[in-house]
This record gives sequence, structure tokens and C-alpha cells, in this order.
Amino acid sequence: MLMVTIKTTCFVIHSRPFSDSRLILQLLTPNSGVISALYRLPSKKYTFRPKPFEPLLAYYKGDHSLKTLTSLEQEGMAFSLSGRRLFCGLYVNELVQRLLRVEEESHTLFADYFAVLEHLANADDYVTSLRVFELNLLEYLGYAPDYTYDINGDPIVYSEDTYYLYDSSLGFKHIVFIKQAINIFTGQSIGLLNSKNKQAMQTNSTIKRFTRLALKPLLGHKPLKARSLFD
Amino acid sequence: MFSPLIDQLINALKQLPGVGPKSAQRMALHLLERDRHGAKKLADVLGQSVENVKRCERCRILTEQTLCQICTNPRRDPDLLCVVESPADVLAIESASVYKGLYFVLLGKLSPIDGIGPKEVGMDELNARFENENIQEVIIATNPTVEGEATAHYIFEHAQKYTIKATRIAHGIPLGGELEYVDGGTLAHAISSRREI
Ligand SMILES: [Zn+2]
Repeated sequence: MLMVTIKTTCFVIHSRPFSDSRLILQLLTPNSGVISALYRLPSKKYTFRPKPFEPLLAYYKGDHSLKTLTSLEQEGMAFSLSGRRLFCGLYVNELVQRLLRVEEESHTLFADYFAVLEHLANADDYVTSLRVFELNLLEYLGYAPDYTYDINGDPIVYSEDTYYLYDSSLGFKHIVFIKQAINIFTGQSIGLLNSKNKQAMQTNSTIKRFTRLALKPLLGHKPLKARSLFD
Repeated sequence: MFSPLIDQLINALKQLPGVGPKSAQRMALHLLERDRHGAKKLADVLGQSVENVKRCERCRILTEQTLCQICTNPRRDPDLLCVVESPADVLAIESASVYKGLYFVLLGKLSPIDGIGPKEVGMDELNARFENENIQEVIIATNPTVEGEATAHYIFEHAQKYTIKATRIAHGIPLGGELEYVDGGTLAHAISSRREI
């Protein structure tokens, strides 16, 4: 059977040596989520080494879980991340590697990934772009709750003094406020989650509390290692 | 092969980096057919090394002493601490012979997806040295890869807490290239023209 060669834009999420001259790369693609592919390093003279945060053009083939790259080249300028911005980039890659399913259409997420790298490289308030990416990722994975209606089907009131309890499997439940807890959010915060308004998110620390809470059941018992970089 | 022992020997040799089945077979036959004396010596030294070589308690270079010869050398400058990813990097820098300070070997680089965080690269031990020694400058010589740069920044942030000056070796070193493979002259230049972070 003739194997079809597939051409795709991609980013390296992770690479590890397979032998002296070969790497196993995990690539984020627009069409197929994260794929694993075997890559033979070019000769020593040619110094190209695939690295994260750099748009690449890949040609690969294979129907099994491990593809074979026939060609890999730089397609655009690498996003230059340094300092804490680089930690954020590693955090985003760990999220993608841990949570993305293989062989699944991923155009919107690929665009979100591109956007978060762009912000990490250039924006003043780069941390907010992490929150937006986390919200987009939850949506892509189908785990974003309804931010407009509560679990009883009533519209969520985006106000400072309405309170909702977040249940990761059901959504938001309207409650009478007694005392603050990790899973209680104001209607105003939920409005922010819905609008993803970056300006307003900057000053609202509850967004981070929400994304952590919402990602937790997806990540299981193994915490994200990249978080330890920020301690 | 014709003997289970020889098969075992060939398999054991195949574990060495860059040694494939063919060269492993050649090595095994050479040792057994032409150089029994050398083979015996190799076996003895290997056995003794595995038994006695451990890591220097201060810098984590391989040594059979508690502290290595660099750490105990009174002519080395204790004001300077060079942080590298691997013992091979220490050998590379030593062979360039421009650096006279002390070392700390991370034994890796920060790589969250591989489960390697600050703890795994010995940041606790490094912080203890920042705390307990009178280090004036930490020269960060991790590789210029994404993980190496992240590691460098992490160390920089911690050096700052102890108000220790942090410098990064200059990179005439090719991007993504590893220290271990850089020639002595380039490396000497990279160290002497290091920049403050
Ligand atoms: Zn030592």
C-alpha cells in the first residue's frame, strides 16, 4: 500500500532522543492534535535542530501512532521567549502535551496556541494571555462550563453580589453566600470568564483560581511540573 | 553466537553510546581472542570504578573522594562558581583552561514535560551553596537550548535573592549546540567574554 505524505505546519512541544541520530518529536498540528514522529537529524554540518516555539513545516507519513518525518524545516521566525515568559511557554507546552488528544481536529486550538506565544513574546501583560489560553483549552476539550446559564437553567447574573458554586461536572449553581471557599465565584467573575476581557482579567485573581480548579480533574493526580518553576 | 556468555558480553557492550551490534561483536571477540590481559584489566577497573566512584558532595562531579580535586584545590578561586548541566561540560571547560573557579553540576536541565523540575536538577543543593559559601559571581554555563535558557533564568532569579552577581557565558556557541562539543578556543572566549544578566 502506498503511504500518503502529509504536509503540515506545526510546533515542537517536546523532543527526546531515540538514538544517536534520531529524535522522537511531539508536534502540535492544526489537523491532528499532537502527533508523535520520528525525526532523523540532518548531518552535523547542517546545524538545524528543531526547537520549541518555532513554526515549522513538516512532511510526514505513517498510519501508526509513531509517524515518520520525511522533512522538517523552519517556516517562520521563532517566538523569542526569555525569563519568566519562557517559563510560561514551557507551562503552555506541558498543558498541551498532557491534555491534547491525538488525531483530533485542532484548528482553533492551534490558533490559540499561536496567539498565546505571540503574547508571551510581545505583550506587557503576558500572564493574562495564559489565563485566556487555559479558558480556550477548556473549551476545546469540551470541559468549559456554561458561563451564561446556571445548572437550573436560569441566566447567570453578572454582578458583584451574586454568588455561584462551581461543580466541575455540572457547572455553576446559584447560592446564598455564607463564607468564601475555593469553588465559589461571583457572577461578575463568571461574566469575565465569558467575555475573556483581558483588561478586566488583569485585576481579577479569581480567574486563575477558576482555571486551576477546572483543569484539576483533567490533569488527575500528577501535578504540572512547570508550576514549580514559578515558586 | 555460540555461547550464552559471549552473547551476554555483546549485549552489555551494546549499552555503550555509539556502539551497535556489529561493533559490540568486534569488541567482544577482540577482548577474548587477542587481548585477554587487557580484558581482565578492563573488568577490574570497571568493577572498582562502579564500586568506588561517586559524586563529589559539593559540586557533584564524579570522584572517589568525598570532595573532588577541584573543590579541594586551594588555588581555585572560591569567589567564582560555574554552573553546568553535566560532568562532560566540566571536562570541556577544564580543557579550555581559562577558568579557575569552582563548579556545580546540575545533572540535567529544567524540562517539565520530562518531570524534571528545580528539585530534580539539585536547586536545593545549589541554593545551599549560595547561602553558605562566599560566592561573588555565578557563571551560568547551561546549553543555549530552550531548556538550558529556562534553567539559566531560574538560577539567575535565585542568585538575585542572595545578591550574587550572575553572568551567562557568551555564545560563540551555536544555538542549540552543546557545550561538550564546542572547541576549547571558542569555549575559552565564551567564558572570558561572559555577560552580566
Ligand atoms: Zn567537587
